[in-house]
Amino acid sequence: MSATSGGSGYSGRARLSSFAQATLLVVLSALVAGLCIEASRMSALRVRVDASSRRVNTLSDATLDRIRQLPQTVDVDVFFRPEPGPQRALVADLQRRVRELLQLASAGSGERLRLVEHDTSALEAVQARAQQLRVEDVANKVVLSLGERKVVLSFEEWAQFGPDPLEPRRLTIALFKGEELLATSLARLSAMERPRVALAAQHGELSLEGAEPGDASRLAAALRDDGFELLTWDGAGPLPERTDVVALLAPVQRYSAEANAAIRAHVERGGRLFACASSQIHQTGPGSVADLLAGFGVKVLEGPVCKEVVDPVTGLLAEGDPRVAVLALHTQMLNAQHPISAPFVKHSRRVLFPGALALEHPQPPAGSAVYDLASSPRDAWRDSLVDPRTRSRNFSYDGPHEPTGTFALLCAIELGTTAGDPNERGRVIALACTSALTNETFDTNRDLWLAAFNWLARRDFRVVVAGTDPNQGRLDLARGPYLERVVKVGWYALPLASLLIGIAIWFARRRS
Amino acid sequence: MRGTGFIGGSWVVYRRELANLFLQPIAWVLLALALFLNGYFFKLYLVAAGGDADLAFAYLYGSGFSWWMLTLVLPPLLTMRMISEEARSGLLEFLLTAPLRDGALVLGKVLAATSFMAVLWAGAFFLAAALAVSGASIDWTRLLLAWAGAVQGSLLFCSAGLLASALSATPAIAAFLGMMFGAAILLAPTLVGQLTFLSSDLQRAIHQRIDLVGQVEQSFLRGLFDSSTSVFLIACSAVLLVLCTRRVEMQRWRA
Repeated sequence: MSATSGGSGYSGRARLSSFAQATLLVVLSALVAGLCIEASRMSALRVRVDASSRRVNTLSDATLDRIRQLPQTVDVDVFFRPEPGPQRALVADLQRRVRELLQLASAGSGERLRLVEHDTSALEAVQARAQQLRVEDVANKVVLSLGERKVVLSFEEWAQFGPDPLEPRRLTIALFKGEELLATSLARLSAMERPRVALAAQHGELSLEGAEPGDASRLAAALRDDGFELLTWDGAGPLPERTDVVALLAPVQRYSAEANAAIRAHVERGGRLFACASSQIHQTGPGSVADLLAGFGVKVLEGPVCKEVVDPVTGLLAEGDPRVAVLALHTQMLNAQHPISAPFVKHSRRVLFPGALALEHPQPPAGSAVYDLASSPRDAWRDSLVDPRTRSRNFSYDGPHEPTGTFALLCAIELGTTAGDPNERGRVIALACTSALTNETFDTNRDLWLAAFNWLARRDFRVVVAGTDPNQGRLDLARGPYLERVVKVGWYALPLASLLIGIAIWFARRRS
Repeated sequence: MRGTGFIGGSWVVYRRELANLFLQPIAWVLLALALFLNGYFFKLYLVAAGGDADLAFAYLYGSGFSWWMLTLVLPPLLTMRMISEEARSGLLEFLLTAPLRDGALVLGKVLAATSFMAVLWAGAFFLAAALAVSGASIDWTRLLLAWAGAVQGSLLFCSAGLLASALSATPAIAAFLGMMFGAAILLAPTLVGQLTFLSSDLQRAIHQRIDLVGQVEQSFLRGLFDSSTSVFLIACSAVLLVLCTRRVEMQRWRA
């Protein structure tokens, strides 16, 4: 750098040189920084570690596999907008959770998910995108699109709502189903094949059309949404062509011997069967579901499985009350190893089995394996005695006449385990609990049945279960001393301590 | 290389600046005020989050208004005198003639200001401890990561403040300039959206890369360590510090 000997200190040339150097430095440093930032975003160099103790930033392997297996990049368009009115906070909370999940999935997708969050106040842009997607109403929706295929997810689908456990007058998110919904939607988008489910009909099975609590229309809708093609089979003649899964949804009449033989032959040649025996009318003998299951080594036992419950109002044992037969099965009662039930154990989810009959499999046929997926608690009993006068059950434990212990309620059977080709192995899901499939319990059991059908359809990778209670870890601010302590520490203790140190320093400086 | 090594020089300046900061009563008054604001907002956040402590801490460390307000205002106030006042009083001239590299001088100063901010953000640990004592289950690793994110974010704003201090000879103007730099960092992603001549894909790509709030919210505040966010914050800070060093060099030549 040359300098003049004059008063200004620098020559014009030196100033220009200095300016050029400074500019070059700015450009170079910005360039290097830009390169570093860009390189750090490359998946090979990017490190992402979930440090939260509740693993809130970790997607399940099944979901990640589902994302990795996507044939092309899926566009995820989010059209959330603030919702006015009393549910403003609830809507905002759900939107935040959905956004966080989608951002997490997108970041971990290796460019397989392209997330676009639209500013819904920019009406023209939103309308243009909606037209492009061919979706009429996009308000508060998420649209996943893969080429021409698309899945539109309404706002309410992401969660189940219920009263706030800490403030019952308020509505809150009882179960956030984001991950499971995302995985299911991606599966639907990328599904190249649609497994065909033949639902047996005309023998008093659960109705797939009615919307009553005792119908199974929600199960049918969920299966369709999950990419299954539903067919009906009247139980006469051969099974529909290319049937993958036969489903018997709690029939109250017996099938013909030919129908049972056709189902059995289907399973033995590697087909799959979802067999739910009716728990309302216990049928045995030829043509019954119980008879069919007996051929696979599983016996349906009479009498609903019950467990003592305490009446929440009186605090007394609800003996003689049908509520004792409503079993809520928690993690200890579910199989932690099997792909159907393991995610429930992992996420501490429960399933409901009201009025279920017990299953027994003392000696499975050669070359088959039976797994108990859900079992009753240890202190359950089988209400097997029927009052001869009323011809009904008393829902009370009647001593040694009624067996006690743990009873299997849901079983998975694999046949032909010695066959080299896994596609030749038949699969059966067995249960005897009508109410477990109905609309009434569907909110709780939905994931279980989807998991079961996906396992039957050999789509084990789709078995994704919604996570744990989103309210876990929340503080009861109305009852606990939390706010009071926050005020004491945050408003008084910390600022005062800081002020005192400041005053002490001031005195010390004055003295010195 | 003259005299003391780079790290050694930085360390000397760091200790000196830290002592300057923490041995001034006004710094403690400022800290008391900021801690009170943190406590005040934390209570609001905790109520707004329906008792979800993790969410309330995320608000405190960046998702909420208070963090950005304090981060916009405090770092320029801390750094405003660090170069401009020293240049005016002639102390900088003395420092520049010492066996010390300019980069080391700048680094020491910015780290001292960031340390002050780290102490301020650490106040949340006392709040978390108060909740834990009351029986709350605190996700400490998530909290620690959120604090680390807040400190890295503060480094960026302290760097902007220090650059402002190097650019202006008057501390008040330096503080104002520092706040403007901070606001520019925060508003840059919004401005990208106004550049209509760019394609929407390009706009989105740039937005994703420079969206400081979004990046911090999607990583540190959720308990997710994401190296790309750290690189982003440190790289941006480094650019500002390089510019600041260059400016100090120019002052050396003038001196």
